[in-house]
Amino acid sequence: MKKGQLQALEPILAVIIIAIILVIGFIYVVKISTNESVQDEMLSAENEDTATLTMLSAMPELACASDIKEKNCIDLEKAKLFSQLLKTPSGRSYYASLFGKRDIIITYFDIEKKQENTIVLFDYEAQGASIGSRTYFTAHDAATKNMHFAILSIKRFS
Amino acid sequence: MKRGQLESPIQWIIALLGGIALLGMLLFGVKSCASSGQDQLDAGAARSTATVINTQAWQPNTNSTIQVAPLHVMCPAGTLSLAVVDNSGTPTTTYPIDRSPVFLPAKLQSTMRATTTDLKLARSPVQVRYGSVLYLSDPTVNYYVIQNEQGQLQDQQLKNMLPLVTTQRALAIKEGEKAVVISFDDPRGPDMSQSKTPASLVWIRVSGSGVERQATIYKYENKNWKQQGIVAVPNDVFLAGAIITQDPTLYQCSLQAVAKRTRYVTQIMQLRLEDLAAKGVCKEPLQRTALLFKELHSAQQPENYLSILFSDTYTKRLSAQQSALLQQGCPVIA
Repeated sequence: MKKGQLQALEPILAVIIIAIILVIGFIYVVKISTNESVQDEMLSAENEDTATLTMLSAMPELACASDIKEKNCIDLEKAKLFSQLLKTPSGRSYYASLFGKRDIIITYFDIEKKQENTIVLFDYEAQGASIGSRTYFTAHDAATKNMHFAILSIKRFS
Repeated sequence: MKRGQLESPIQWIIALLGGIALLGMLLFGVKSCASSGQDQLDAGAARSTATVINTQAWQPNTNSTIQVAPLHVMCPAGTLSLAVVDNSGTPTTTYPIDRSPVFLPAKLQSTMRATTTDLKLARSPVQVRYGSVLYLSDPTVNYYVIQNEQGQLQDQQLKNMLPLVTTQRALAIKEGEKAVVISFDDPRGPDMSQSKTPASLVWIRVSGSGVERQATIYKYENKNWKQQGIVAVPNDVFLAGAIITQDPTLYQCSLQAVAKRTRYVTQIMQLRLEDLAAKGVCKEPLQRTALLFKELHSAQQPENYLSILFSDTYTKRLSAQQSALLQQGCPVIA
């Protein structure tokens, strides 16, 4: 290539170089902002996990009746019926927006029978990585009038 | 002019056009990113406010101040929703909150007063609790109740739900004040002769009694009371809801949300009684009580359902069953 031809291409080369620098800069800014929004999203999801546990602990669909003075108490009969309701199309579509992409599981321990029992309250029906949170409860069995130690756990899917 | 001399300006023109095109593309990219970022921000604000509402809604005895996004509250297609609106008032982002029993005004302030009250049988000596209802009220709004002929506030329960101030019919509203005035069984509007121009003023006229009780909502516009609509307020919980929302459409929307959720709750109560009876626990009394719920669930419309649930007859029957179950040492309704 002759010197004259190269000189004539100079402006175009300058524009190309500036374009490359600008595009790299733009990608960098977008990456940082995406990263920040992912972190915000994670923090917000963690807060929502705590909020979901707090909400579940006070829901009348699960709470023990007024004759039980125990605080943080789940009625096992209600929990079983609520899990059945959440398996029906209408129940599932109604409560899904409250529970989000989460599995909600109640595990209670029957000391007398030395048994660990599980009620899957809400199954998001997802596979893959999940993050868990839990809280502790007293579970009341209205049929036997027994109290059990229980764990309410949630698994959040991304 | 020589060929070389001519080529150089043409190259510069091409470079300039290329540069302009590039700049345009970059600006478009930045604008798209900013717009999608704003959308994400709006959706995030609506979602986190909904989370706050959902969490607070079921907490008994809440009485606090909470921070929320200053969103609008709408009822598109009968679904109570939080909304971000543009300058023309058109919603750009909406987020449903119809799963929670909540009454809130059409515009949220960044600081709102959150109060919950038990949703339970009216005038029942026995507690049958169906959960709670959340009120999000604007702390800058003053709530006045006009004293009746006897000079007493008729609905004492309301005082526990809202920061009510009793007043005479002749109001002394300050310039720029936001207020809601409530009157009982008095067709005359508040006397505004001693008042200055308010920023917003709503009058709620309550008439009738029991499940037949109604609230007529008026707005004070151009020195006149303009009727907005009439709504059914079967008990104080709902009357407080009408006072908070100040809007018949939003009130109906919240009422439907409360009715739908309560219906699920009472369905679980009914099934629990039936299941326990099937297991042989207090068979007859529990079956009798479950039948009462069956009767309740035969009501199709939310208004009918709530009217039955809070009617004096139904309350008495359910309350009698709850007392009997307690006396017999059986599992109670709720």
